[in-house]
Amino acid sequence: MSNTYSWRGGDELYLRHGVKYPVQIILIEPLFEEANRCRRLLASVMRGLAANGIGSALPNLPGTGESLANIHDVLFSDWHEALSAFSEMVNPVVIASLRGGALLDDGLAANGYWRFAPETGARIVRDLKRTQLGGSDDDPQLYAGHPISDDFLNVLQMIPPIPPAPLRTVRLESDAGEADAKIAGSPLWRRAEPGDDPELAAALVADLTDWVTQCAAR
Amino acid sequence: MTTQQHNVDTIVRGVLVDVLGLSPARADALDGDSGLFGTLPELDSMAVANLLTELEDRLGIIIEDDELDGEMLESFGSLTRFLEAKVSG
Repeated sequence: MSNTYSWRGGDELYLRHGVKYPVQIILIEPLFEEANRCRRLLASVMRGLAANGIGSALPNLPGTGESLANIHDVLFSDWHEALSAFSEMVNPVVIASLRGGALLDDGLAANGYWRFAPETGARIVRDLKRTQLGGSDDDPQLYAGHPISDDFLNVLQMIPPIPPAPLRTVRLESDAGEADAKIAGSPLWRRAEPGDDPELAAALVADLTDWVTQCAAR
Repeated sequence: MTTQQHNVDTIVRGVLVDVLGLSPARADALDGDSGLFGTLPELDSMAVANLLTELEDRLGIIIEDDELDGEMLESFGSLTRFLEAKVSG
């Protein structure tokens, strides 16, 4: 089910599953192209959570996905502001983020926080700039098809990792980074063609369901 | 093959499967002379960026932009040789 939420800059779409359940969480998607590659994974996770009696809401960030805003005019602080407005509406027990979405979960009120394969701003910017290698020089401001402003990238690059509390971090087994749990699966956010990984989705649903249940009891 | 060469070889094949969506059988069949950039249709400039970043994550290395050239990605052998040298420091 698609709806819209309002923030100072306008209206944006969001996806919602299991709105009837008392426990609700917010999912923050990966940034830019990675979001497209993880869309099926996120949809599977939302369905799985609903089957466990947990409602979830996935907002479109201004300037991405179906948004009518031009990403070139969007500031990183706009994303924080949009998510604050969305969070007040949903009143989530947990904020669950994927990849670069973890750069946006601090400052949002919740009983707990959950991050899957969190990534730093510096590395995301590096990845975006790398997509230009070997590509055309026609438009140097086009990163993987997104006309992102220098201001946005400069802020994103400098974002310090702020761990909210209580936080649970989950990573793939192939990832050398620190985590509370490691699960098997493939990095769908790096796939040239959007893929699916039902086993990964099931493992994420199981881990998230446990964490949400713990946080709901706080 | 040394243990380290074997590890790099295995990781590169695994990354080609995960990033490019090659079947494990196709990845296993690659040898030192197998062409990569310019030969594998899956390996476009976007995929190159993802491939390099995933290799950095799994091998715990940093690949500087000035180290990137067509030669390094020309074949499976040239890529693994470059990475082995990086891992050895």
